[in-house]
Order: sequence, then structure tokens, then C-alpha cells
Amino acid sequence: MKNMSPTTSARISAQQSDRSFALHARRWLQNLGPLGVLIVLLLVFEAARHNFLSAGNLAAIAEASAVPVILTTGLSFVILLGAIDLSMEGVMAASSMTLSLLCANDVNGNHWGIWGIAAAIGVGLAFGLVNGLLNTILRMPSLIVTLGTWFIGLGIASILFPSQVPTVQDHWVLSIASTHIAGLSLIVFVAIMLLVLFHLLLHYTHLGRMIFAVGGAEATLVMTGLPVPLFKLAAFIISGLMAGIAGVLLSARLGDGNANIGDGLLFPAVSACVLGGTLLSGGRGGVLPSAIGAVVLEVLNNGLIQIGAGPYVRNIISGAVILIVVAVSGLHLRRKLRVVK
Amino acid sequence: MSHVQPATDPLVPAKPGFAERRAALRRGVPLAVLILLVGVSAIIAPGTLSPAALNGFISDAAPLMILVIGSTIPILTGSIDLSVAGIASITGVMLVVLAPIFGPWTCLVVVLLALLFGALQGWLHAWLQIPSFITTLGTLSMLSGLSLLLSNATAQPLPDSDPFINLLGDTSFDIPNTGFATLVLVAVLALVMRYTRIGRDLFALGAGERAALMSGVRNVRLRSFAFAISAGCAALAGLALVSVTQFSSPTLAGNLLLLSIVGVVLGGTAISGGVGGLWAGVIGGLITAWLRVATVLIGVKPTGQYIVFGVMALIAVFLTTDRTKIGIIK
Amino acid sequence: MTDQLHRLSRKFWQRSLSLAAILGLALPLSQIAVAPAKAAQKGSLIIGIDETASEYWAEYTQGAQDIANSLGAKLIVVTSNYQGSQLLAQLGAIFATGCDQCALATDPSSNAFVKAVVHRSAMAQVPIVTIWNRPENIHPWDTDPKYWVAHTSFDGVMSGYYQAQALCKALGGHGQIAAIEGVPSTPPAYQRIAGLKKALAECPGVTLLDTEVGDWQETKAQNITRTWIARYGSKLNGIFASNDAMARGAVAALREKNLNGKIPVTGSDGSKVALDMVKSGDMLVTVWNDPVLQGAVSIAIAHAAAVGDIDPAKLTHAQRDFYLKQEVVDKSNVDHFLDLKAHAPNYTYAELKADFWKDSAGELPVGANK
Repeated sequence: MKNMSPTTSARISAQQSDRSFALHARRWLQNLGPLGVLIVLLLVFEAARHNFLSAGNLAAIAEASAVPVILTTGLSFVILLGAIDLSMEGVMAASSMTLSLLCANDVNGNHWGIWGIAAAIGVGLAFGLVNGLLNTILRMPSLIVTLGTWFIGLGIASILFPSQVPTVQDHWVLSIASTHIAGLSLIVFVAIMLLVLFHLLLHYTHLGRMIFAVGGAEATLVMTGLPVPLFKLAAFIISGLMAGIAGVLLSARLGDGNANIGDGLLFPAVSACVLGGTLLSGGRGGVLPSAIGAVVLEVLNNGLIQIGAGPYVRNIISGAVILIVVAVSGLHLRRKLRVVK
Repeated sequence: MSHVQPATDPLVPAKPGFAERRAALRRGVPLAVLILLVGVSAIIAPGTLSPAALNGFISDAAPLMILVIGSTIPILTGSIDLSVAGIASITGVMLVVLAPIFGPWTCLVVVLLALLFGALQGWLHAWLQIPSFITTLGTLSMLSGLSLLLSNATAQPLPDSDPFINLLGDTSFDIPNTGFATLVLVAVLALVMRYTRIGRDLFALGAGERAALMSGVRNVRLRSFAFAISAGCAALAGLALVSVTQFSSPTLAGNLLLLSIVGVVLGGTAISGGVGGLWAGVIGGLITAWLRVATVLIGVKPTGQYIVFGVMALIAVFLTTDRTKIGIIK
Repeated sequence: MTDQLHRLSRKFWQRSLSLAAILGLALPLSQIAVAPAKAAQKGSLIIGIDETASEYWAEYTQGAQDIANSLGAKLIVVTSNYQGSQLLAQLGAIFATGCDQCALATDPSSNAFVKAVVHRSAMAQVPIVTIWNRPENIHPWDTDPKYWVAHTSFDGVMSGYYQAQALCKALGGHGQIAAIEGVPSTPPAYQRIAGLKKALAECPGVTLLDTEVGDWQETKAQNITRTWIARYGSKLNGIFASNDAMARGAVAALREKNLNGKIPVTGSDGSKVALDMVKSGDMLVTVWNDPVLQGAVSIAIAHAAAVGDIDPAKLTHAQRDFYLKQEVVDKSNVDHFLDLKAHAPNYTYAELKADFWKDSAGELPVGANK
């Protein structure tokens, strides 16, 4: 733009701001889609069962959504790259076992207190690091790397498992779940805090912008000489970190270490990201949309329990809702030559 | 190791066929890994290669192999089918439910239904442009709910007069028929891939989708075909499973989904599409089936089995993935 | 030139990092004690369990280990991770190495795999005792009867019945309860719910508000209970959990609202955590199923058939298809069971051989596994 006359440049920039306004508006609308689904669901369930929107039930939904929101926050970073992290269930198992064996418990004499929490979160971080290294340096596809580390996480948990369920007796850990502010446990506030923190990280830092860029056009970015592997590594570490934190929070809530603590959380988390509008091909979405997706799933689950739908029907309905929402919200993106994998 | 060209006359092409030989070598890696794995376990635990043991292995491995072969086809196009284990499970349930209506033809009907379901799934994915990962995740959830509902969540004995199941459960020349079924399946698919346009188009779609689309590859039709095949194979795998158990159950195939993905990748098929093939699926399926028992054969303590399986799978993937053909690793 | 050098050095770094990573991956391998299984020794005992990271299965293994120690035999443990196909494949691998006078006691992981697992064992001429899972229409005496020695389980109907009776009594015969069911396709899950309904029929003042599936899992039960508290509020007077893990999940959810101890919760299994909660008053009752005893008895009977100490053909139906005894644990007798937990008796083969069925609670009634 250096050699342009002032008028041309002004015209172009006006056009650009026009376009960017339209772009912004459109993006907002897209973000509102999942929110709309959420509101519709809430209203439908309220109509079907009065007092669905009672404070008590909303709090129950918030409690149930807290951990899925944390998981989708981490997962979003990896998905924004166009990669995937399947290891969270294994990471949570390993982190839960680490926590319950290092903090005061009824199996061994350890009493690491807050360092036990740090160690358990550190386990998550280490898993993220290993995932990232295997993906970037050994150039192995993330899907298979994280599938492998999923098994390894479960394995670490089963090696650590003593002959009986370790019960956590640490005051620090238990107070995470037992401290209530305004009827909500600290876990909900931790989730909100992490969500805000990583939303800011994603949208207002260099790293965040680079993660979007990697997801959008990795090949181009590599050619610019930017340290792309570092950005990818960071995303995997964030994802592992979140899974580690989730493991700690879940064990705090249960009050014990459990190797099956993360069972059945992975696929809903991936679905939540997609529901919220984070594209699996990368480059588009964010932690807030993903979090909305997670809340939608929890509302659906809670509501279906409330109206007394059996567990089998619940599977069918939630599968169908996921498909319909994703199909409808993706309609405007349909193009003849669009690549969808 | 190094890429430094030997100092020869620039007019004479250096080391003719070097790239080709290297590629051939690469293709051989999965097979080498398989042979190594089998060899090591045979040394540690002699008797693993006895005819009786191998027959047991074949009947245990056949469902997994069929699943891997089926899953390979959508993955070649760059998509993924997560619903395969769900389809395999519901196959058994449908057998029991539909037997009173279709009698001896039940198996055929079930496989046809699966093909149809797969085609629908592929069509949804391609026409509505929903990522395959989420399409099949959604259908997986629906399938598992449906099979629990249809079976009332119980294991039910199969009707014992079903001719096809009896045939599959039987042996010929002392070798389980499921092994032969796998071979026939591979042969048929190989012929289709080799002698029709479909094979070429599948690879084209996986290697460079946009270019393939522009050169007239019919995306929607091809994807429907790919998913139909993988669902059909999953139904066959389900039949092979129930021919062993003689019972249907809504959770029969359990974690075979994860093992089938591991199998596809271990054979050298790239998860991003365009690289690999049926042969890779066969080898990958065999490696995975062997890995599953290797932890027991070499006597790993039960608590360590998950870790050993995970680590061995990662090492095997590291060895068998051909990175030279994939530009960007996601 | 420098460009080339640069590339070379980068390549070098990449390779050495790869190598380091592989070594890093391979090292833990050597840490995990690998005891190369030559052909399984004569008289080896094999057990098949569902998972390793579980107190129940650890104790089951302990019971089998006791018997192995008393015989001086080797114990081989196979883990199915709830996957029947994996169990089959792994058993196949063990039988492949040849097995003389081996014995197998296993949970076939689900009803669907019982016939296949029994058949595989019979092909290898290994006597087998199954636990927990058996489809209604096949029995040890009519399916591979020479090798399927026996099936043993705990009476789920009785367990559910005991729990619901205790709830009825604690609520003074009036109130509303909700039930959390296990994995629906497993016999103990539907048996325990059937027992619950049987007891409620005798206690008309207590009604069942709701039943949800918790898949035996703590976290699921916790979420379900939280939803119930929100939905039913003070209408909910008691919670029936089909096992101790789910009971613990329910108690954890109640604790979030400071309702633990105020709303009675029942469970089944007799795990350490549940006993502690019964003692502290968080749980009303649990039903003691002794996994150590179950492990010892099941593998001992299989071994007896393998060495000829018993002849399956001469056993009665009640000896080939039986429940082991179970007991209700409440606050009054919990100390006894806590003591038993801390000092499990050390079973020996000779001792059990005197009467394998000493702790039997009778034959499985017809229709128990429907």
C-alpha cells in the first residue's frame, strides 16, 4: 500500500472496514447460533417441566458443565490447529491417581498438600508436552499419538492404583469441592476463570493469533519461518494442562482417586467443540463457542433426565441433536468445492 | 542419511531408481514390523506358531481385520468412520430381532441394511458437508442407543438355524472360515480398487481433494460408496464376532473402534488420506491383533498391559508412517 | 554451502531427537517387569478379571493368589478391560503355549461371551469356572459339561432386597426413593433392581420416584444424584445405588448440599470406602460380597477338576451353579467387616478342599439371569 495515492488507500480501507464490519456481524451471528440452540432447549424443557429453570436446577447444570467446559477449553486449542487430542480420559485417570496418592490419603503417608495438586496438574502438562513433541518433532499424526497416550495414561493409573481406592483426606483438595459461594462450588468458578483466561489468551496474544493462523494455513505459515512447532506444542500443552486440572477437580469432587474418572468424557467434549462452531479442520471457532457447546450438551442431558427419557433414548436423541445442529449451523458454509474431511 | 548429491556428471542421472527403491523399502516396513513382532514372540513363547494356536489367532483376529479393512476405505479419502464398532454391535442385535421375519436370509438383509446405512451416512457427510468425525460420532451415539433399545440391553442367543452364521463359525481344512471370509473380502475389494475408476478416484480425493473435485470426481457419490463399504465390512465383522460368541449383545464390539483406527495407521495408511491401501489394512490389522495378545505372550504384568500396548503402538506407528508423502502433519 | 550445513545439522538434530524420544518411550518398557512366559507351567492357575485398577478385582486376585501360593503354582492374570473379544484373544494366546493341568476362573466380561470363553477353554482342555455372567439358558451341565465345571455368583436379587428393606425400615415405612442401576446388560444390575422391586412390594409406603443408569460409575451416579436433588428436592428421601462406587458418587453429590447422612444411601459389594461410609453414617447399609473368598473358591474348584480331585460329571446342579453367601453390613456390625477387610483370611487349597461349597448360599434359581 506504500505507493498508493492517499485517496485510493482511503477508499480501500473504507471498503475493508465495511467488509470487516459485515464479517464481524456474520461471525457474531454464527456465534449466536449455538446460543440460540441453548435458549431454545432451555425453553423447551421449561415448557415440558416447570421449575426446570429453577435456581436449584440451573446450579446443577452449572456444576455438571464445569468440567466439560474446562476440557473443551483445552481441546479447542488443539482443534483450532486442525489437530485432535484424544488422550484426555487417560490423562485424567493418571492425574486423579497422582493427586490422591500424593495428597493426604488413607493408603500411604504422603502429605504433599498443595504440591500434590501441582504434581497432578504437572502430569497433565507432561502428557501435553509428550503429545506435542511426538506430533511436531517425530511428525506423527495427532490422532494416533493421542490415541497411544490415552492408553498410556490409563496404564499409568492402573500401575499407580494401590489395592484399594485411595480416599483423599487433604483439606486443600476437599475444600475445592466443598466451598460454596452463592450456591455454586469453587469448581464452577475455576471453570469460568479458566475460560475467561484462555479466551483472552486466544484472542489477545500473539500465541492465540498464531494458533488460528496455523489452523487456517499451516503450509504458508511454515514458509514464513515462524516457529510453527512451538505454537503447536503450546496448544497441546494447554490441552494436557486442562485435562490435568479436570482430573484434579473431579477427584476433589468425588473425594477419591479413580482410574475411570474420565470415562465417557472425550467424545462429548469433541462434540461440544463442533456444536459450538469450532471447525475440526481448524482455524475457526474459539473457547467460548466450544464452552457453549458443552453447556448445550449438559442441558440436553439434564433435561432428558428430568422429563424421564430412558438412557437408551437419551443416546439416540443427543446423537440426533448433535447431527442436526451441526448440519444446520454449517449450511451457510456449504460450497461446491469446499473440502470437508 | 544426507541428501547431498554425489559428485557425478550432472548429465547422468544419479542413482537411477533411488527414490523408487526407497519407496518400496518404506512400503515393506509394516510387514517387517509384523514379522519382527511375530518372530520375537515366537522366540519368547514357543508354541505360539503351532497350528492350533494360529487357528485361535485367526478366529480372534478376523473381526478386527475386517473392521480395519473396511475403515481403510473412508480414511483413504481423508474422512474417518467412527461408527464401525457400533454397526458391528448392532448387527448381532438385528440378527436376533429380524430372524423371525427373514429366516435364513437375515444375514443378507442385515448386511444390506448396513450398506444402506453407511451410504446414507456418507451422503450426509459429503452432501451436507458435515465433518465425518462428527457425523459418525453422532450416528455412533444413535446406534448404541438403538441397539440397547432393540435388545432391551440383554445378551440374546442367536437362532441356531442361521446357515450363514453356521458357515462362518465352522472350519474348512481345520482353518476357521472367518479367515477365508477375510481373504475373499480383500480379494473382491482389491479387484474393485484395481479395475474400476473408483479406486483411483478414492486416492485422488484423499491426496488432493480440491484438485480431484475440479477434475470431475463425484465427491458425494464416492464418499457414499466409501462409507457404505466400511459399514458393510463392519456388519461382516459383527457377523464374524457372533459366529464365535453365538450370542448377540448391544456392546459386543466394545473398544474395537479404537483398535481399528490403530490398525489402519499401523499398516501405513495416512490418517490424512491418499496414502495406503487394502494391503496396508491387512498388515495393520494383523499387527494390531498381534499386539493385543503380545502383551500376554511376553508376560507383561496385567497392570502394565495398557502402557506396553500404547508404547508399542506408538513405536510401530513411528516406524510405519511414511512422512515423505504427507506435507502437513495434523 | 552454509545453507546445506544448516539443513544437515537440523536433520541431525531431528534424528537424534527422534532417537532420544524412542529411547524415552522404550525405557519405561524395561521398567515393567517382564516375566517371559515360557510354556505355562504344569498346574498353572489362570484368572480373567475385568480391570486392574479396582479394589474388587485386586481382592479377587488376592484370593486366587492365596490358592496359588498354597499349591506352589503360578498364577496368570488376564485383564479384559470389559472387552470380551480381548479376553478371548488373550486366553487363546495363553492356551497356545500349551497348558497341562491348568485351571481357569474368569468373568467372561458379559453374558454374550460366556459360551465362547467356555468353548475356547474346553478346546484347550482346561477346566473353567465362570463368575458373575451366565446367560439364562446355558448351564455348566449342558454346555461343554466336561470342562465347564461350575458357575458362581452373588445373589443380586437378595442384595437388592436387603438394601431396599433397610431403606424401608430407615424411612419408617413411608417415603420416596430413587434408584441408580449398573450397566444394564449385566446380571447383577437387573437382579439388584428386581430385588429392590420385590422389597418395595412388601413395603407399600415407600415408592420409587425414578430409576437411572449409572453404569457402575461414581461420576455418573454423582451427576444423576445432583440432577435428582434439583428436581425432587425434599421429596427425595432415600437413594438405592446398585453398587458401592455409585453409592459413593451419590454421597458425594449429597455432600455438596450438606445432605449426606440425612438422606440414606445404600450400596452393594462391601468395599473399604463403603464400609468407612457406613461407619461414619454417610451410608445406611452395604451388602458384603467377599471377593477374596470368591477368588479362592472359584479357582480352587477349577483346579480340583484339573487335577482330578473332583469329577464334574458327579457334581449336583447345586454344586455347579451356586451363589456364595453375602451379608448385610450396617452400623451395628461394620467393625467386624472392617476388621475382616484389614485381615483377610489366608485361604489354602487344602482347607477349601474339605468342602468347596461351605460358603454356598444355594443353587441359582431358574430365571435368575433372565
